[in-house]
Amino acid sequence: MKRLPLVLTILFTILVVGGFSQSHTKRVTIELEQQLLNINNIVEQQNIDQARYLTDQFVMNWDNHRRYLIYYISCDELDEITSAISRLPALISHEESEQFFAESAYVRSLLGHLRHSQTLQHSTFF
Amino acid sequence: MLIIFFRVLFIYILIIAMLRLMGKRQLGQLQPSELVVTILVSDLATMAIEDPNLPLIGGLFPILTLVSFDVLVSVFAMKYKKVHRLISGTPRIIIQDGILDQHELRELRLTVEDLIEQLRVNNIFDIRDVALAIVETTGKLSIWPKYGAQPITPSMLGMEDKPEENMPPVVLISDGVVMESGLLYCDVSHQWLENTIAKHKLRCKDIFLMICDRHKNYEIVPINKNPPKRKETGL
Repeated sequence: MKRLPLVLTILFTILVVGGFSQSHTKRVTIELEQQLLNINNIVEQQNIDQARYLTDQFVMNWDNHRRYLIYYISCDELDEITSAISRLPALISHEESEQFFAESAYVRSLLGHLRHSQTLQHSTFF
Repeated sequence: MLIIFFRVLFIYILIIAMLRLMGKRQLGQLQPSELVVTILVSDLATMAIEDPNLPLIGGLFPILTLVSFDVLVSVFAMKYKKVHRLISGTPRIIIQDGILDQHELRELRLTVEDLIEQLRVNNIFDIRDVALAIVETTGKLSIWPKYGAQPITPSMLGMEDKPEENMPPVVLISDGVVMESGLLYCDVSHQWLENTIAKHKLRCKDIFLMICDRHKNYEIVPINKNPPKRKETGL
């Protein structure tokens, strides 16, 4: 009966890793959405230099998180967010606020979708 | 390409480990639950190999979960008969004392042709010769022939059972390589083997197959270096 403890350990590990990945995705996406909202406020206040700095920080932050998210989330899904995020610094540099808000809203919706798709709930289960 | 190469290697090792975890039973006879797991595991493994965009964990976790559940279910099935019946079903008697149970046959959706074929596979050509025929949970047909249709065995003839004399021969040399386990089984030495081969004017590397029993009765098949030309069978 050596197999029983082994499979119980495997199932326990899967549940722990699954729980961790879910909470990690949730934490990361909420954090990034919050950062984007802050940048939006700063752009509204016409503080472009500060917004540019924070946007660069935001892009770096995303790259850091992506390195870990890629272990359990499909590349396609992450690449879509990366390409949307990569447009943000250029929009800030060209001071195209309206387009920046639109792109920022798109990124937030992608992050929201990512969080939703990785969370165990009625809609994602079925 | 390198990603695919290492993924295939990883998945291959994982599947072997998983099959070992499922146990030997899995390879020989498939219970319904094991069949499901085997089909799903092969599909999941293909997904993880084919699509490098999917994280490896996406293929790894479902396989691990499936196999773990299968082992858990088999443990429960071993402990509780009800679970076993629920998962694997029960063996069904379809012929008793030469009489076919048509109701069971319909329940099992087994045609008469299928049944006759299975009987023939078991060397039964007359249904009246069957004392008991059971469809096992794996779908295999087990047959117990009537006494008159059973093959004659030494015990029927009242012959004494001598297990030591009735042991099968084993391989001593396979494709020029000496099998140490065979020497141990036959209780013969390397010296005996070399002398025996020398009698036939052969060397070890010239032998394709040599079998021997515990009474040192042996058979040698030399390596044929000139394969005969294949004849057209016309099939």
